[in-house]
Amino acid sequence: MLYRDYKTGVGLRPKHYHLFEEALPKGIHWVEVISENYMLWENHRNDRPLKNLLRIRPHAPVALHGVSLSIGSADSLNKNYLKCLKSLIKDVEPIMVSDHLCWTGLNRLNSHDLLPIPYNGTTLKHVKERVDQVQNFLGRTILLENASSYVEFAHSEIPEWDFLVELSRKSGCGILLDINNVYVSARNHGFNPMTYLRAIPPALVGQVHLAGHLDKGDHIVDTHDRQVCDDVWKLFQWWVNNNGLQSTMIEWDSKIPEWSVIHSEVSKVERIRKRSLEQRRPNNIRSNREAEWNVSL
Amino acid sequence: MERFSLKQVQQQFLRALSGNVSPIGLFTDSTHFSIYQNSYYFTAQSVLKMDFEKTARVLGANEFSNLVRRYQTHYPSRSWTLGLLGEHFSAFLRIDRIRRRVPFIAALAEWEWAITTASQAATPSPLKVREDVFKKSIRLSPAAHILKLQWNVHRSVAPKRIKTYLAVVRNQVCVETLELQPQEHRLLESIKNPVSTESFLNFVAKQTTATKLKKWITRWSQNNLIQFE
Repeated sequence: MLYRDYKTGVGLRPKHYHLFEEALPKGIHWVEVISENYMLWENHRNDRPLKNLLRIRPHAPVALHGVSLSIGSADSLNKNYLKCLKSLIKDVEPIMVSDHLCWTGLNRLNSHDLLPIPYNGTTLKHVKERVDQVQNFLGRTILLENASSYVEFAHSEIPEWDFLVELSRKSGCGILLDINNVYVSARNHGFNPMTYLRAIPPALVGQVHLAGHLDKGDHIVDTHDRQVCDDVWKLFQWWVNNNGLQSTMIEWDSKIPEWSVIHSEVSKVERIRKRSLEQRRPNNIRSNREAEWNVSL
Repeated sequence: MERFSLKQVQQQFLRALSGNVSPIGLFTDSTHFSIYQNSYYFTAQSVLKMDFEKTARVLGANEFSNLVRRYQTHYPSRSWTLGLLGEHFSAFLRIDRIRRRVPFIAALAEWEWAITTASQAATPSPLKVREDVFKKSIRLSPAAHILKLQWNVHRSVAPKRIKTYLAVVRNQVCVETLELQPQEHRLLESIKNPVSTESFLNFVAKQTTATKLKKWITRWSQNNLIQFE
């Protein structure tokens, strides 16, 4: 399955809502929202966020990005959650629906965090079956994002990138490739991010995320509260030069700055995309090596 | 190496996460596991600080932070939504040691939780009283909460020990707190679940004067406290 390139998007946050009411700001072609913030659930049916979203929906393609599907949990899937999500999908008619390759809780206890899973054949089979159930229930394909991580399981037998690709191939779900998360996990676990990116077939990727993180020297914390770092920009540049253009968005979740700061990040995405298109013209072909990401870890 | 099932691995992970202990044999290197442990508390703390802003201010940052840790141990989150994280907070404050130092703290948290949940309720539709209203049921609006507190926490940061009856209700734009008469509180309490409007009005008429009844019904309907269905 080839995914459509919706060009450049941004995470829509309440602070900047007013800028999206009449039309999309210059350079923005779609927005992504956190699904759970718009879902109407038992006893808590505040429909104001959803009404606000539906007001901008006619001129703004919307991607729904969840954080609570818990696809990697050993628990059974939460039917109530899935029903709320399905109802939201019906209302919003999103261009994409995504969540994370992770688990958030067990025995109905919730950590409200994106926790890593052990990568092995047993888990792959388990998660694949759950993706099947989710996609059948929702009646559409979902994208799963590689989450950043700070520990690796002793029970992992295959690299994360192989697990993600196999999961996508076996279940038909797409990959939401978060290049910042690849970089964060690479630094935390000591692998080369290029090994990860080279292993991902671009045809499986439905969306690309870029975000900022906090570099603590010996490790990185994925904070989404600042600009994308130079190394991640270089990885993104390598990705588009070698794999073509995919829907790409800037994710900024805390310490939300003025719009001009986010817009400047979006403009960088646009510039890299444009440059990549120019390089792809037949009389301007150059070696991939020239554009290769060359920062050593 | 012993082979654990996914469930066993996740059980161990959660135990280490909430118990703030080091997991043994689970990871290749657990140096940075504390990032997950910190995040577990930090998320709860920031959500509860928003939902219980005044409670947090009265206690101060350190006391509130320690309280959240104790609360999470007693009442770990059981929902996928952070919106329900504070659901047992006031009940916990009634048994936690903090009540000895700040005796009104549970009442304050109960009032704040009513405000939080009222703000998360569906937008109430304006009440339309038509002729067929007597054939319908009357109920307390889902966007309203009625409280019976031992402290007048809504009045001041240094509340007095006075029996206080409140209604917290969301109107079209904001959440308001109204003081109720004890009898008014009792009547609203009786329609937490829908009851026949006719029988409710007959019951109320026996309890009070026609003037008072008219005044209350007008006030309840003007403030979206009741609805017919």
